[in-house]
Amino acid sequence: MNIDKCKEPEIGAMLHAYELGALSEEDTERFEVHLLKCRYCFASVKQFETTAGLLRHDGSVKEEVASVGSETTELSLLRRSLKFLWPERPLVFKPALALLVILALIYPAYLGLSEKGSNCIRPVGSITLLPLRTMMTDTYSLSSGKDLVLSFVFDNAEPNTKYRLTIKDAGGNVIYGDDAFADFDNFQTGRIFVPNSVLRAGRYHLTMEVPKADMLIKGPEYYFEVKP
Amino acid sequence: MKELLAQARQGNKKAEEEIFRFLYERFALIAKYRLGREEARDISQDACMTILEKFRAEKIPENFEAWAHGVLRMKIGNFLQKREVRHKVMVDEMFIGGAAEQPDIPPNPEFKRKLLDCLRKIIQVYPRYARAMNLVHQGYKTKEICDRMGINAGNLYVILNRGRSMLGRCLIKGGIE
Repeated sequence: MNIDKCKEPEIGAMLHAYELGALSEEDTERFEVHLLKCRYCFASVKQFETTAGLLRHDGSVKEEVASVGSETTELSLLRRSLKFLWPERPLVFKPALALLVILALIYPAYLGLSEKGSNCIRPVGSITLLPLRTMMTDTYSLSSGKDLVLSFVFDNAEPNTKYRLTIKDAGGNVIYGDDAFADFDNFQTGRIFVPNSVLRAGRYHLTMEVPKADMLIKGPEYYFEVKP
Repeated sequence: MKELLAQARQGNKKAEEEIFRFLYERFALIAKYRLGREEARDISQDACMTILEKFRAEKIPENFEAWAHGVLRMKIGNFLQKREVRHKVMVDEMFIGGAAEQPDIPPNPEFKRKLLDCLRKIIQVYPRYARAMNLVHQGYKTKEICDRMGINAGNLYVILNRGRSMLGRCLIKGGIE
């Protein structure tokens, strides 16, 4: 018979609970029947007999253990919160630990994003302008802090043609100019990027001039308004 | 055990003695845990005698150990019943009630001091064991202890056995790592 190992580990696990007298009557019977079969557990109980006897019955031991404090004591809010976050359960079931793991996983990603945000990616506001016969304008809010992407549709835009593009403010000052603009996509929409810092509140006028036989003729015009 | 039983039934005295010794050792331990006093020996002997008589006359049950434990339980039950009757006629029943809970041999004071010392150390480093012990001493059984500690029985047994191992090691080495 094997004395190095418990024959029924599931029942053998109750060893110390039995020694302390903490098992229910049913489990006590189960364990005692097990003791009649398992040499390992019998030897363990026999070896620990005196210690277990003292743990169970000795007044000084009882006093020592009682000093740990009982659950019936009212717990403070802080202790209750700590108990909730760090309950007496296996490590994987502790909410505080789960929180820490989540934060540890998220924080590097947050750092990466915030760094990219400051150096590379900035939010933009976009407005799309259509060539209009009226003076109706599209608006853009300066206070948004976003850089402006201006999209403008030019139906007759031709590939590989360079257009002169100018944006002027209400006073006629040029705030943006490009003599060789050719950045139209397949839908004949051109886009330019205007940093927030160069814009002031007011109305703006975007004009395009089309090269024709060594001359520039007036092309479409667009208006937009920047609000404070 | 089955082999020994078969041999004993065929009249092998040595096998019979072996069974008696095997059962007596275990019964004495169990009875002592249940009663915590000198009567454990008499009860164990009585239960062993009953078992040997019965197994000669009757068919051996399939689960011999459970059956043998049943006999011991019955003997313990009878003893407790008689004691209960005796208590009713004795004036100082409180004294006897207390005495029944005491171990029969007073422990070595040095060992007791060492145990208390180890227990204090373990309470410091392993509060879950201390907490479980506290609840045991308040008279709670495993199910209630589990409810109060918010754990399942398996985890409670692990905590208790781990504390027991620490205690065992501390008693041998005088300290905990």
